[in-house]
Amino acid sequence: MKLYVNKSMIQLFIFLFLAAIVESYFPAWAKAEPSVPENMVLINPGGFMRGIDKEKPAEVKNRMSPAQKFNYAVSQKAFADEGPAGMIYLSAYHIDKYEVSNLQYTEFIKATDHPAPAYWDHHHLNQANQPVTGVNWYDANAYCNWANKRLPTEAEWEKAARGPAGSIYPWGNELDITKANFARGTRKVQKEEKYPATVNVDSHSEGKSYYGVYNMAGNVFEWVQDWYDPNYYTTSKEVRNPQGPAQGIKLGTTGTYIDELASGKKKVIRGGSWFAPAHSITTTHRFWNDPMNNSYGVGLGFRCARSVDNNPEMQSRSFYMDALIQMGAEKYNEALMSIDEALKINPLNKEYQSLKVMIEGQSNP
Amino acid sequence: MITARNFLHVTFILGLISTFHFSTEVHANDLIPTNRDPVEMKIIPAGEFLMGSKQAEGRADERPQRKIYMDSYAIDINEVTNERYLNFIHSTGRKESPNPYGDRLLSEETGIDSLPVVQVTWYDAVDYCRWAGKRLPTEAEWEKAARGAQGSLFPWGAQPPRTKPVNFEKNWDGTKTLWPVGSKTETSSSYGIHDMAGNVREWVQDWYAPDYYTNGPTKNPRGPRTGILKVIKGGSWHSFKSDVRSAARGKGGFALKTDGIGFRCAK
Repeated sequence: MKLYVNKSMIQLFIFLFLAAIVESYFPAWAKAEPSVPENMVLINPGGFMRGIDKEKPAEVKNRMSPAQKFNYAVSQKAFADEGPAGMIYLSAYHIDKYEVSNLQYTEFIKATDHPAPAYWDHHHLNQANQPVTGVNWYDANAYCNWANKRLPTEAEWEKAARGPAGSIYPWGNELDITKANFARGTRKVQKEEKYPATVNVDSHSEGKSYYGVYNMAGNVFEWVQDWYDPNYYTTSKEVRNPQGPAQGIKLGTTGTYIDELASGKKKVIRGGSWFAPAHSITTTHRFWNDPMNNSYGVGLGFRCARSVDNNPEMQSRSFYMDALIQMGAEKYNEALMSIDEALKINPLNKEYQSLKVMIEGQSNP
Repeated sequence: MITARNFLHVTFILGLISTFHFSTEVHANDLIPTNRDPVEMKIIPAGEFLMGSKQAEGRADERPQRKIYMDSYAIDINEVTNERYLNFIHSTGRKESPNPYGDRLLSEETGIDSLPVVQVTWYDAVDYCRWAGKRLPTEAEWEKAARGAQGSLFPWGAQPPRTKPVNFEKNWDGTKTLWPVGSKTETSSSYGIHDMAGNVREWVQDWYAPDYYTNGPTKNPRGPRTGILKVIKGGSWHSFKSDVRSAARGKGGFALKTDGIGFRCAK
């Protein structure tokens, strides 16, 4: 009991300390970095926990129909594609606060004569502030280049959605139907609401991520830079700025015509959509689509990112801040890894050293 | 989560399997309109036409411009209307396509008989044409019918669509959005085919491949053997000028349905 009280008090202290830092430190940083582009957010350099370890679904095959068993052979690897979880370090980057809207995409089409997306003439999906829907990977990539940006990597997307404490949903760890636009493709919903569809890109501010990024869960699936390989988290040794596998793998090819279509190289899409079921909107969920396909489902869009120059002082400071946040969330192992990174860059910093002692005290009470 | 994912896969694969059933080509030896779909068709004579765009024109996937030889074929003068499509629905017992104009069933909507049908998938279009004893036109057939033998930029010639009564760059306005088929004959093609620019985009038979205008055959091209997307031609009420050009190549998955995609049949 005594220990418990102690722990809570330390946590309270950390939260207050953190609040003070966020209050005082961030505005200063914003002044020092006036170059955060409009409607983008800065994600500080630092580590985050990518992926999630899931228990293997027991006896799952026994409950399947023959058709499902056939299909299971193709996609069983994908069931485990979100693990193993591991610490990934990213340099600083900017990412769009909102999904790219129809209005923004209109400017791009007008300027470049680029062809219109698949759902351009669907009036429940094509309003100015709804996300652009029905673009393939090449369209999304071309837009970001035109805007002097690039598609985010899969890791950058996940960090922007999860925050340093690694939440399951952008807003936290509990599913909340009021915080995102998802699972509205069911018959029940379609009966209740006449025209369920995407919502404006600045909707659901209460569901934004730790970094202030909107609609990372639901609304539209978002293309990212990376090729899809269900084994990537297992096989990749890259823990700093991973760029995804060099090539997409072909999923479960058996050489038939059907498989040929279903099994080409895929790009990763993230975040679920207004139509897709609840399980697809977690921050770790990985799905895939042919890079040519502009209309797999009724919600397929994107947002862009941009690299930022990193300086070591800023980098170590942000590792330190991550460690504080992770400690507040009782994620001591992550906190220890973060503070070690800060100390690697700046080993003599007293603040960092004392935080490390504190974290070690917490993780081995 | 597993079952949901599997379900997606199974649906997708079943969808692909059904592609086979409709891939049979229907050859025209009888150009009289069928009883089921008694509408006017036009015979496009055998011969060459200019397909695709010259170096400075259009987009990379429409180049180069090549001479393509086509056997003779017949094509509907008009896009399939709601009236024709609902007739097919009722005589086959199929489920109605969604009504973009309001909450009622499409068949209960008034004043839309002569508007082109929309909200149809590529499968719906293929099924309709088969039911009517016809088939979807190939991309080359569509483009020749629109551009004539000399490869004009738009069905009526080279003048920009702003100078003609063309339904494009518009916003949705209920039953006023689409124009009745064949109502603007001054924009017809040199073969007398109506509404091949704007109003609704049209499904054609071919799979889409970005390099097909470079590598496809120069005689009766029928599209690549496989693909991910189907070609959609002609632009719609919401398209910009560059998508309304007759050589422009729209594309979408076979399950795509919008308020601006319809079709016409060939034989």
